[in-house]
Amino acid sequence: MKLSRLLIAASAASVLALPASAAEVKKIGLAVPNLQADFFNQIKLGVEKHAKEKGIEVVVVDAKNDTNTQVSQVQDLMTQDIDAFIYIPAGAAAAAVPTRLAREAGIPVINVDRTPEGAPGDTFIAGESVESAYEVCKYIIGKAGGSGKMAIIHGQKGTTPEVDRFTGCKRAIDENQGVELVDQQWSNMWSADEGFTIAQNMLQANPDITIIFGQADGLAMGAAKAVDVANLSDKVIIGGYDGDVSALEYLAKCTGPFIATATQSTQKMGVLAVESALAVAAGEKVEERQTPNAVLTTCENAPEFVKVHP
Amino acid sequence: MVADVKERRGVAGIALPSLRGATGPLIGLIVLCLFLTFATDKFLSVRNFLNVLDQITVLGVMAVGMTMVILIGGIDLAVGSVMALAMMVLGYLNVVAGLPMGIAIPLALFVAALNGLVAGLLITRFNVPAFIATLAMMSITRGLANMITDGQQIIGFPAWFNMMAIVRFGGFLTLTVAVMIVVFIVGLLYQRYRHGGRVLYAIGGNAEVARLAGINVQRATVLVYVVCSFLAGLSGMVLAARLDSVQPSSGVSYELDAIAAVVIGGTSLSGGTGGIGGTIIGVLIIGVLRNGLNLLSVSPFMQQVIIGAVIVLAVTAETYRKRK
Amino acid sequence: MTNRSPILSLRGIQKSYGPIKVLHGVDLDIHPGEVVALLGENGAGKSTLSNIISGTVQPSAGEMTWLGKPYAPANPRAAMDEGVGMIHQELKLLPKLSIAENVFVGRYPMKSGRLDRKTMEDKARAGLQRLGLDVAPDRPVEGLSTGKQQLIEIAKALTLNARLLILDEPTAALGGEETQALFRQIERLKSEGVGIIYISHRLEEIRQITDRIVVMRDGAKVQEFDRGDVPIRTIVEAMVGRSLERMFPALPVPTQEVALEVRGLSSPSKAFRDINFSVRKGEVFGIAGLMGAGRTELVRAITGADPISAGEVLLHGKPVTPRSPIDAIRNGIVLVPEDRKLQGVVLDHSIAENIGYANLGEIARNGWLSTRRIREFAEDYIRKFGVKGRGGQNAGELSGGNQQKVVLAKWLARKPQVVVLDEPTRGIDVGARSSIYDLIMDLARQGVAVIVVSSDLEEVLGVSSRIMVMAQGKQAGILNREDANDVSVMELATI
Repeated sequence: MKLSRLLIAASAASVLALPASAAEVKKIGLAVPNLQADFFNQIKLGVEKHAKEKGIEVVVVDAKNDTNTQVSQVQDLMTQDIDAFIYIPAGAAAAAVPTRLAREAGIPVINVDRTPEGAPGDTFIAGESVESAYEVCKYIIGKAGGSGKMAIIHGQKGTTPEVDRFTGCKRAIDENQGVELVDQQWSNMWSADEGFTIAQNMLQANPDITIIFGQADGLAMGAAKAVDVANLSDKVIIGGYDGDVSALEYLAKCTGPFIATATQSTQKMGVLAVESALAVAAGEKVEERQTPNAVLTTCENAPEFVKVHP
Repeated sequence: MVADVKERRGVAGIALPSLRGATGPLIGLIVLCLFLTFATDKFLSVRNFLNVLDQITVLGVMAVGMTMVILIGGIDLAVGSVMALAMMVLGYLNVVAGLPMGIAIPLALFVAALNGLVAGLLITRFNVPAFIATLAMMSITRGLANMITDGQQIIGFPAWFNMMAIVRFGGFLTLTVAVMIVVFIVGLLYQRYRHGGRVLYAIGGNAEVARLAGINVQRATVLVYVVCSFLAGLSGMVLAARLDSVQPSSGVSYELDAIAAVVIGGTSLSGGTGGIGGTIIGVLIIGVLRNGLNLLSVSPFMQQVIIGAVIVLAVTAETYRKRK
Repeated sequence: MTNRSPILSLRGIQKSYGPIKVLHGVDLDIHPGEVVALLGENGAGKSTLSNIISGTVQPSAGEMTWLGKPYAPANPRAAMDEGVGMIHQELKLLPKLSIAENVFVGRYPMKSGRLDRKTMEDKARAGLQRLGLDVAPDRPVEGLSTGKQQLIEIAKALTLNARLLILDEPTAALGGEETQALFRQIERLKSEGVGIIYISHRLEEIRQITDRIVVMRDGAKVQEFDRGDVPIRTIVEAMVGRSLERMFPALPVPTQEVALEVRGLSSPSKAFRDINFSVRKGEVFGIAGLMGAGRTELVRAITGADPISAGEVLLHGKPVTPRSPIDAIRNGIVLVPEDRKLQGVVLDHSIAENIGYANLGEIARNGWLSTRRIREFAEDYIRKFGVKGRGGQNAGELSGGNQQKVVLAKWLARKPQVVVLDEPTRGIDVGARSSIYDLIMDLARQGVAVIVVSSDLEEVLGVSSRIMVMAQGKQAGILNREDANDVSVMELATI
């Protein structure tokens, strides 16, 4: 009896506390696939920093790369009455269900990095992978003298970035007759330890590889370790992608075989996501596709990115 | 006086065999719900309760099979991978090969059950320890699931399929939740009131005693692994409906979640005690906990710490209670 | 003997668990070089008393003096450091470790910071050989028979260099030869001035080995004999607190109709070879032999628990050679196994469930059953067999004798034609034994063919109308009751 009265009082209070206007954004839900990955963590930091300046609360959920978990978490976000939803799909399959849930709740949906097929959000913010991957591969092939045996360490097979980054790099390879693509392997987690193992196996099978492209900085860093261990540091050139903090610090030293990456403007993506959410909520028109450019980063410009991550 | 105490405990134990050892978890679940009710005004609502039910369907269906395996003193590490394989088979048959769902679903479940048959035969005929046999099956089925589409996801199921997981019939139950509830009830009745269910307790209690008592331990063991894999496949069907897509990377480490739910529910890893009643509570604890922590906006890293702590708490509390 | 000062003195030792008093002020002295038998039925307080001496349990009141100094060990380690060693009735060996490692566990011989495996194995081998056990000390304990494991347990205690040794049922799983070897070691320890507390249900042994007998009943010392060779009847009467009419009930007269016949039975492991015998309806057929003679393996094969490589089993002239326990049970041939705790009952399940497990098919209606129905079914048998416990109670809480009744009850519900009992009274106290014997005779009277395997010679002689003696896997002969006595059986067993 007493309990139920308490509960009624509590729910009444919560009704009073509801935001007066639906257009006003007080609480943003952010669903990320995996905070273990620096790339997503940077986006999260960007969102949180910018939201704090605007006085907006951010609720973050981490799916640990599992789509099912992410759907559950998005349900819980909706229960918390968020006013806007920033959605970075987890797993190889970008599930459409979270977008549908948000649509049902009538709130803005901002997709970052990946977008589910058939259920687009209000805007899609993602780096342009094809062009940037082309830039990285062109640079490392050029450093290698425009010829030699090359290997690619792919990311998780079937994901959009994996496909796009390969398309871009392949273009650079095709432009150089002297480059022969001798080995390609796929990782599951985009992680450094996978990069290490894969590169070691590649060098075992083809000791005369001189160019390696890792589709993520983690993979490239792992490959660099493997090259060091094999005592081939002065013969092999490695390129990466993403511009992780640790990779930028590595590049800034200008000593190892890993010499170039494409630094994604991850923090800027987060800022952009919050801005877009506010704009959509206010009824303004937002671009369907927004592409903060990735910047080719080498030993020369790495130090400035270490200071301030874009 | 002593005899009296023993007798009373005996009566309680015998009247509620499916909840034996699960009274602790049940109290834990109630305390957790009370806490969340006061900690956040979002928790106690029909909508959120139905959300939680939606969220535990996959784990719930899988954990029923795992309970039976653990009850006979076994373990099945392959359920997560078997689930992914069943999903990929479903996607391939329905979307790629164009077979109707009425054929694709039974075939996908059959493939799942087949994995259990292989594991069961490895364990009984070739004396491979259950841990190793299912560890091997975990790797094999994951590889097969990936091979079907070379690691790609499959989308394009008929629209009604996703609706099964979304539309709440009568404003209450989605079809997937209904599937879970049916599995719960059938599992409970089987374990408590069927000849085959009681036999599992005997095997888990002491396989040699059971064998000498004329129980066909080998057949029951194979059957349990088949059922567990079948239910893993069924949970895959539920997940496919929920996600409206299938991908071979689904269900990684789900076997550990299922084992955690079973153990939190009071079933002993050495077999012979516990049951599906406890497991349902274990599944609810995990579901409510994850839901509540999200509602409380607890940071994702802190959530991992809390869930681990709850597992430890549940199991040590139970051990402590037993020792007393 | 008594003029020397005792190694250990107990004065007024009491022990209570909550409101229940299990020891009521026991006094006891153990002198160097004497073997004191501690006798009593299960629950008399022998184990509690020895656990107090060995530091496993702390007394509620009373004092202990060890070599003239106050003695209050906080744990078994402390007692061991003082020089008190104990062999537990339940085997406490680590199955995956080698024999030598088991003998020296916790006190491994070291050489310059490393395990001295050679010394350890040499010492273990020497210790085992003194007990007449010739096995490689580096093989794991797992897979050794219960008897051999018991010898290892004894060897472990003998290498402790203890001043006082407590032996709790050391010969429960031993054959005659091993028992004699153990006794030789006890004599040696005696001459070295070691005091020994000897707990056993085998009263024959007690007469042979002990210097003094202390009888306990209901937590108190009730009688003390200053010599070992007291008539068994006298000891038993002191233990049970009443005079005994007889130890073994009268044998029913068997029919002439042959129920079970075994022809040329052999095992793939060569544990037994070419065994031929038959058992009539209503007959109790004994199987005797030393440890390792193949008795257990033979009866397990007859009941489908172990494989058969050649020969056949016939029931009423029809071949029924079993391939599994299910096969045998279906034909009405059932086994009450040697190791109750590992093969007979599920210790942490209820009595009702234990009885139910062999009868689920019977209890279920169209495959449906409930806990209530299992319990109702079991209650009947619990009453009929006088099991001291209730349906909902865990089997592990029962005494050995009551556990054995549960195993019997589970089978008798199926109205079997052949009942095989392997070591039916091992570890069961004297009072309860006679009720097991009564049950055996009841079975025979109802026309069941009964086979009893026992290492306890007196028992086989007492209950069987014919006895087959086995030696090294072969049948050495079948004796009629009139011709069977300890001498004739031992002659055959040691061929």
